[in-house]
Amino acid sequence: MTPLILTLIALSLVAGGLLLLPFWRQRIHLSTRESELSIYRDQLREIERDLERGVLQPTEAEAARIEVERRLLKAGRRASAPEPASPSRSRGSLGVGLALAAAVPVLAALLYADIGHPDLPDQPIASRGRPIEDPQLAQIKGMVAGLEQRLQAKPDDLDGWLRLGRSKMVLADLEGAIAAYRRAQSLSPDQPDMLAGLGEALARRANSVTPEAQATFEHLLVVQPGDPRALYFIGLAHAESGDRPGAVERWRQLLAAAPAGASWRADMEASIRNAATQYGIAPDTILANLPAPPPPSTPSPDDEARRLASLPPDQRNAAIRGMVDRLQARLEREGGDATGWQRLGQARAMMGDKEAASAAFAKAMALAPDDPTIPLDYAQSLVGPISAQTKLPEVGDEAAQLFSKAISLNPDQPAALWFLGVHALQEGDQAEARRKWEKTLSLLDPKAADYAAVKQRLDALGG
Amino acid sequence: MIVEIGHYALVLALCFAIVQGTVPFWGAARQDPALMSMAPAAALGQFLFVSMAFLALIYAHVTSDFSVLNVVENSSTMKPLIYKISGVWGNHEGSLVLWVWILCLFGAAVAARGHNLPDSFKARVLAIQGLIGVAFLAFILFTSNPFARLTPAPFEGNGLNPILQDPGLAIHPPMLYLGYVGFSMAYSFAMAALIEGRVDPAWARWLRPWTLAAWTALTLGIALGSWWAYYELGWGGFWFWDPVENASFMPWLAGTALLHSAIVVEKRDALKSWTILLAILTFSLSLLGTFLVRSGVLTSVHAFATDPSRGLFILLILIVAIGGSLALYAWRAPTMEGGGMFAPISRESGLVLNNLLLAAATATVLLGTLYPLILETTTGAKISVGGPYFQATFIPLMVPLIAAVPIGAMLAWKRADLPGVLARLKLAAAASLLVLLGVWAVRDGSSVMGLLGFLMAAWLVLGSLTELGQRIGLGTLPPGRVLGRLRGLPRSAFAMVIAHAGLGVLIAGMTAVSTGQTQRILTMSAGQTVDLAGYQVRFDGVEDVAGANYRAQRGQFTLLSASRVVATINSEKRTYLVERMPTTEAGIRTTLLGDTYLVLGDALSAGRWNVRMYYNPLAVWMWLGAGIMGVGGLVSLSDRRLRVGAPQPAAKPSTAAPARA
Repeated sequence: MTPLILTLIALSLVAGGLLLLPFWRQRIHLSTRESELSIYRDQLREIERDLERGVLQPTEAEAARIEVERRLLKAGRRASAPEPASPSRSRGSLGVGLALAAAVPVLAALLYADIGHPDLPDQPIASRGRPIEDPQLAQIKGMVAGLEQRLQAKPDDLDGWLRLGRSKMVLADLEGAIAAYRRAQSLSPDQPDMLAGLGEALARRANSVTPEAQATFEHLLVVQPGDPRALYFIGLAHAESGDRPGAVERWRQLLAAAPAGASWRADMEASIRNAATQYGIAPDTILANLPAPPPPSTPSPDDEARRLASLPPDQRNAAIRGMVDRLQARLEREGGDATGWQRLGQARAMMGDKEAASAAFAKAMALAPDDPTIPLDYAQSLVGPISAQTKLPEVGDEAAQLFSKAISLNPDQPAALWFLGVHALQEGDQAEARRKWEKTLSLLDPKAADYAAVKQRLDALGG
Repeated sequence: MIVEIGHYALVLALCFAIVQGTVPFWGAARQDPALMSMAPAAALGQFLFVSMAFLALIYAHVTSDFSVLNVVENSSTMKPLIYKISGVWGNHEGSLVLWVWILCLFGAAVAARGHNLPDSFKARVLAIQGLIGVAFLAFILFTSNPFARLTPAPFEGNGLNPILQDPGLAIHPPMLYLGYVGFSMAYSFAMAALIEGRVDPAWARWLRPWTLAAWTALTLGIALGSWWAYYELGWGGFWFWDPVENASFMPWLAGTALLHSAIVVEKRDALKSWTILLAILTFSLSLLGTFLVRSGVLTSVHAFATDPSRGLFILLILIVAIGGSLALYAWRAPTMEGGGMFAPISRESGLVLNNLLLAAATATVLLGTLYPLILETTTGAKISVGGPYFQATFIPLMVPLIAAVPIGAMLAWKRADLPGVLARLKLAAAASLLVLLGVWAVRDGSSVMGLLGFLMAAWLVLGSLTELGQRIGLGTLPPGRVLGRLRGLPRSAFAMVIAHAGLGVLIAGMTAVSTGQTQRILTMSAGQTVDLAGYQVRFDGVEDVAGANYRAQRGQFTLLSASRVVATINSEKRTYLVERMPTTEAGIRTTLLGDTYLVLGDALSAGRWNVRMYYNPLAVWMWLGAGIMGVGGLVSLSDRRLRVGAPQPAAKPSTAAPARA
C-alpha cells in the first residue's frame, strides 16, 4: 500500500470516529424552554443595570420589566413538550451512528475512486528539475555570455553587437536585443541588419508596430530599397492603423519581389495571410495575380554567407572550396549562364586559383560578350598586390586590356578608369594617367571616400 | 500526494454535509439527543475536511504544481508569493472552495459556540447549513473540480489576470464571501424557526450577531472592491452600477433592512413574519450574486448556455433554495403569533419605513440588473442599464430614507412624540443648512444634486451626534452626570451613531466626487506643465522599470502648488510577461481634501504621451465612511448585552389605539 492510500484510510478512520463522538460523550441537554427562560432572565437583569446607570427612567424600566415578565410567563406556560429522550431511544440511535460511521468512508471511497487520481504524485515545480533544455538553446546561451564579455572589452565591435542582438532575439530577450541593436546603431546608424533587427524587436515588444519601429523600417527601406523585412512590417503598421490598401500594396510588393524558391517565402506568405485575416483583409487580394516570382537562386547567398561566417577559419576554407567545386560541377553539367561562370571566376580568384578563374571568366565572356561587368571582374582578379614603393597596385598588360574592353562596353566605369590610370603611370605616361584619373573623379561622388583618395593621387602627380 | 489528500478530504466533506443535512432533522423530530448532536459533530468534521482541501489547493498553487489543471490555468512560476496564494480564490473553482470553507467556518462556529441555542433549534439550523453545503460541494466536485489533474504536466502556467494581481483583490473576495455566506446563517435561522413554528425575541437575539458580522464584512468587502476599481482600473470613478457590483450591493441593501427589522423583533416581538422573509430574501440575493458573477451569465447569456452542466446545476440550486424556502414560508408563516403593538408614530414605524424604502431600492437594483439578461434571453437584444437609470430610481428612494434616519433614531418605542423629536433636531437642521450654504459659497455653480448630497451628509452626521447628545443629557445635565451616562451607554447605542455618521461621511465623499470631479485629457511631452484644480502638474518624462513579473513604463509627474513642489506622482503602464497583458497603475496622491489622480496613456510619436488627469475632491471620505460603518458594526458586535425596548408609558393610555403588527 502506498503512503497515499494509508493516509486516506487514516482520514476515513478520523471521519468515522467524528461521527461516533456524540455517542461517546452524553452532552448537557439544553431544552428550548430552558434557553428561552435564561435569555428573559438576562433581559430582566439588564433592565436593572440600565436603571442603576441612569440610562433608563424608572417609569421606562417598569414598563420594560412588565413586558419581559409577560414573555417569561408565556414561555413557561408553553413548555410542556416532551423533554429528554429515554435512554432506550439513544441506544437505538447508536445503531444509526455506527451505520453512518461505516457508510460515510465507503461512500467517500467510491466517489473518490470515480473522480480521483491516486496514481498521480504531486509535481511541485521545484522538485521537477529544469525542463530538458534544447541543446541548441543552451549553445546559444553560452555563446551570448562569451560575446557579452568580449563586447565589454571591445565596445566598438559593430558585428559583435549585431550578433548579440540576433542571439537575444532568438532567446526572446527583447529588451536585451533592443539594447544591443541600439549600441550597433550608435556605431553605424545606417546598417541594414541593425535597422531590421531593431525594428522587429521594438515591434515584438509592443505587440504592435509602434511609430518608432515603423520609422526604423522606413529608414531601412531607404538604405536598402525593397528589403522584405521592412516591407512586411510597414505593411503590418498600415494594417494596424486601418490603412488596408496601404498594407495590401506593401505586401504585394514584397511577395512580387520574393524569389519563388527562397527559404523564407513560404513563412512570409503564411505570416501575411495571418496578419491579413486578423485585420479583415481577404488574403486573396494580396496573393492573387502576383507577377511571376524571380527565378530561384539556390542556395540563398545571404544564408550561406551567414553560415560560413560562423565557422572556424580552416573549416571555413574547406567549406568554401567544397561549395565552389559544387558550383563548377553544376555549371559544367548544366552548361550554365554567364552570371554563374562570372561568380565562379570571382570565387576562384578569391581563393587564389588564377588559372581556374581565367577559364571561368573566359567562358562567361563568351556567353555574354556585351556585359561590361565580366571583363571588369576578370581584370580586377588579375590586379597584383600593392607595391611597397609606389603604394599602388600592379596592373599588368593583360589586366589593362580587359579594363579597356570593359570601358569600350561602358565608358562610365570609375574603377576601370582608375586602374587604367595606374597602368599608364607604371608605363611612365603621366599625362595619360592624369586624363584617366580626371575622368574617374568626374564619375565619383565628391563625398565618397574614394574621391578623396583619387584626388590626392592626382594632386601628387603634380603639374 | 497532498493534492490527492485534499481531493479525498473534499469528497469526505461532501459525505459529512449529506449526514449534516439529513440526520439532525430526524433527530430533532424524535427529540433524540445523540442524533441531534450529530449536527455539531458533522459541522466540525466538514469544517476540518474542507480546510484540508483548501490548504492542499493553496499548497498546489504555492509550489506551482502544474499537474493540477487549476494551477496551470491560473498561476505561473513568476508570480510573487502573495499572488500565488490570492490566485487560489481568483478563479471560479478556487473561489467556490473559499465560499464553502467560509460556510463551514460559520457552521463550525455555531457548533462550537452556540451554547445558548436550544438543542433542536441548533440541530435544525445546522441541518439547513448542511444542505447548503451539499449543494455547493456537489457543484464543486462534479462541475468545477479544482483538483482535476493534467498529465503530462507543463512547465509553466497561464498566469493570473494582471488586474487581479493586487493586494486589494487578495482580501476583497474573502471579505465579500464572509458577507454573502454570513447571511446563510440568517437564512438557516429563519428556516429552522419556520420548521419549529416559533419566532420570538430570543430568536432575534440569536440571529443578531451573525447578521451583524455578515453585514460588517459585506460593507467592508464592497468598499474594498470599489476602492480597487478606483485605483486599478484607471477610470477615475468608484462605482459603475456594473452587474457584478450590483450583485454584491443587493444583499447589502436587503441585509441592512434585515439588521433593522431584527431589532424590532428583538425588542418588541413585532414584525416577525417580515423579518423571516427578509432573512430568506437576503440570502437568496447572496446566492444570486454569487452565481451572477460565477456562472458567466453576465458576460453573455450564451456563454452560460455553452456550459449547460454548470448552468443547470446553478439554476437547480437557486430554484430549490429560493423556491423551497418561500414555499415553506407561505405554509408556516401564517401560523406565527403576532407580537407587540405600536402606534403609527413610533420607533417601530420608523424602522418599517426604513425597511420599505430599502426593499424598494433593492427591487430597483434587481430590476436594473436582471432586465438586460431577461431581454437578451427572450428577444436576443443586448442592452445595458447604466448610471442614468439608477440615478433616476435609486437616489429618489435614498433621499427620504436618509432624511428620516436621525428622526427615526430619536423616536421612542411603541409611541413617540414627533413634534418633540423635530424640535430637538432643530439645531442639527440649522447647522446642516449652514453647511449647505458653505458648500454653495465655496463651489460656485454647484449642481442641485451636489447641494442635496452635502445637505444629506451633514444632516446624517449632525443628527446622529444630536441623538447621542440627547441620550447622555448634554447641555441639560451637569457634566458629571453626562459623563456617567456616557459611560453607562450600551455599546450598541454608540454603534448606531457611528454607523449612521459613517454613512454621512460616505455620502459626502460620493457627492463630492460625482459632482465636483475635475477632468483633463491631453497630450503632454516631458517638461510641460498644466493646471489641475488649483495645482500645476509637470510631466517629467517616462522611464522603463522592471518589476517582479512585469515591465513597466513609468510616467513621472511633479505636483506643484504656486510653483512649490508638493509631491511627485508616478503612473505606470505595465506589461505582465507571462500573461502578455498591459495594465494601468494610476498615480494617486491622497489628501483629506481630495485625490490627484494621474494616468499615463499611450505613447504618441517622439516623446509625446496621452495623459488623463482627475482631481477627485473628498475621494478618501468614501473609504473612510465605509470603514467607519464597518467599525460601527464591530462595536455593535462587541455589545454582549441584550437590547430591551424601554416602552414609554402613554400620556393618556385610554385614548391611544395601538396599531397591531
